[in-house]
Amino acid sequence: MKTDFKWIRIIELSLILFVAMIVAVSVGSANLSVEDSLKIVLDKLPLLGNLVDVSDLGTTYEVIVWKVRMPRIIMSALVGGALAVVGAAFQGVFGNSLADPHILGVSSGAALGATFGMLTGISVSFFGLGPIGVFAFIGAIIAVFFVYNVSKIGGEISTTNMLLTGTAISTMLSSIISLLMTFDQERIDRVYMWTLGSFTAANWEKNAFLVIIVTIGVAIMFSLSGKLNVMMMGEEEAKSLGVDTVRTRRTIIIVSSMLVASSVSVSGVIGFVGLIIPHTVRMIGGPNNKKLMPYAFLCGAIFLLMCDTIARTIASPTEIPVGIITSIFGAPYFVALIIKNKKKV
Amino acid sequence: MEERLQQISAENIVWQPSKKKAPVLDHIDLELKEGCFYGILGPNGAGKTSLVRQLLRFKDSTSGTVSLDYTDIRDIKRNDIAKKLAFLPQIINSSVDFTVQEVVAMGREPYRKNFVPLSNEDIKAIDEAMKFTDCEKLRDKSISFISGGERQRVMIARTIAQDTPWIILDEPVSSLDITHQTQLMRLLDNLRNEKKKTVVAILHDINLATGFCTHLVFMKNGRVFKEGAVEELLTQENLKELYDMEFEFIDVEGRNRPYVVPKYL
Repeated sequence: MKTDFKWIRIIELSLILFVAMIVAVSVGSANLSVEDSLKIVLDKLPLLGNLVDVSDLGTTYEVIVWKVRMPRIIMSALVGGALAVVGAAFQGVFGNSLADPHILGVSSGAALGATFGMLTGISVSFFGLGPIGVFAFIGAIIAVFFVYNVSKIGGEISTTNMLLTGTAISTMLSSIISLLMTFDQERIDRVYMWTLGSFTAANWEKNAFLVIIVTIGVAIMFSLSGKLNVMMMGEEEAKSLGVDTVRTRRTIIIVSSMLVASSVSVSGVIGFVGLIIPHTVRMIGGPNNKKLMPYAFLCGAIFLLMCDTIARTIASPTEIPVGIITSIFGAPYFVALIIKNKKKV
Repeated sequence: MEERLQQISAENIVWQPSKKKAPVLDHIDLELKEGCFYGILGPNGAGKTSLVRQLLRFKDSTSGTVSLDYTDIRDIKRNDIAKKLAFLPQIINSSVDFTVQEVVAMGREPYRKNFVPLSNEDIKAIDEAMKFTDCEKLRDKSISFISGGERQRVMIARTIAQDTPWIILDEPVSSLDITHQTQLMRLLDNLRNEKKKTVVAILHDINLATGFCTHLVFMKNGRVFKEGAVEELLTQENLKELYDMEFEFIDVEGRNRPYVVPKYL
């Protein structure tokens, strides 16, 4: 038996993720020692919880660690992982290095939905999602449904059409948001900040919703990774190797859209993760989706978790939208990687 | 190789890309039998690639039926077709940086289940295929950075790893130099003799075809106008009709079939 990915890498990355979580949970306006926060986190885990004693730490710290910071950390990791996996899948399915999770108009649809939610002030909720989240989710689904159906030619999806329609719809929806904001200038700030992404509103209830969708979605994506590999060699080759290309492509696009819609509806539009993480992992580990996807999931989780920690601590008490951090720190690193890779060839 | 496939037959195949256009395949009847090495010859635009696409069910025909051992190919699951027929396309996409090992491993895709890593049987098939095609040294190289001849061998290795009784190839030698062309044809011949595979290849070089094939299929204007054993088909009249050119036959020592030379003006 031989896996395509290396277990040792998975363990290493998981350890890094865990350490990053513990460090992230310790830093903030109230600084805790890493040791204390580790104790509080371990106390909450099944089995291990019996081994640590937290009675001397006081409930304030427990609230800060477990009720305030941890939900946010878990959410940023889940969203980061999901966006990175979707980015990897889209770059493969569309055969385009510029493809990222927002390319099909899902996120613009979500943003328009969120704007609508903010401007009308209708109150609905679902799974811990407030009105903004619910409207964002609906907007995302409507947008991708539209793009998907326009791009269908005789039952088959044309990937080129889909990219073009997605881009056109994204631009149109963004313009509608701008238009709405022109008429309601008082709320421009809120809408604008939302589109840059933030994990401020994280809680355990939203995480429960996210965990279910991300687990199922990412598992389906992993299960299709071998078929996606073959499809990247060419449509007819994939068919000759027994792959139902039409069905595989459709499944990847629908599952990805669900992942992006849920991510965006809890945290806003966070750019760059889904573009640079898969590319970075590919430059180091190659294009084989069977290893690219699991590595990208963990790297995306680590990256977004770190970016969010920076976003909430660097200018404390002011919060910087996390989308700004992903780009400011991500882009130079990415460019450096491209230059380094160029020298190698 | 557990699977067997005694024959592929095409009955009255018509393929018309759209109603306004002329049919690319115009009532084709053809029977291919196991154990042979078929060379499909004909001028550009004769419909050779389109015919192969029908045999592999890449496109649905406008009318007519392709059958694998008397079962309509439309009633066979794609994954089951992939256990009987392997395919090597004319153009190989080398823009994605897969390693040679990964490309050969793709041949096992029809046998693999979700979340299950490569089994020992898979690994054995992959190693054997690489050994047979002399690709072992290339194992960890990227397919983007190997030569055209090496890439063609890697692709053949993938079809061997796929472990099918038949292999269909679309112009496997057209981009290779004469040494590599001969090597590749010899490799296909070995596949037929040692691995008992049936080989169907679209070819443009008449002498390579007559040197290695057992049977020829002549195609022109969307029709099969002659098919049969090489000895029967290899006449100056047939070739003239096929290519609209005059040919001269020269006997070469050590070669069992005449060498075909086109007469230029």
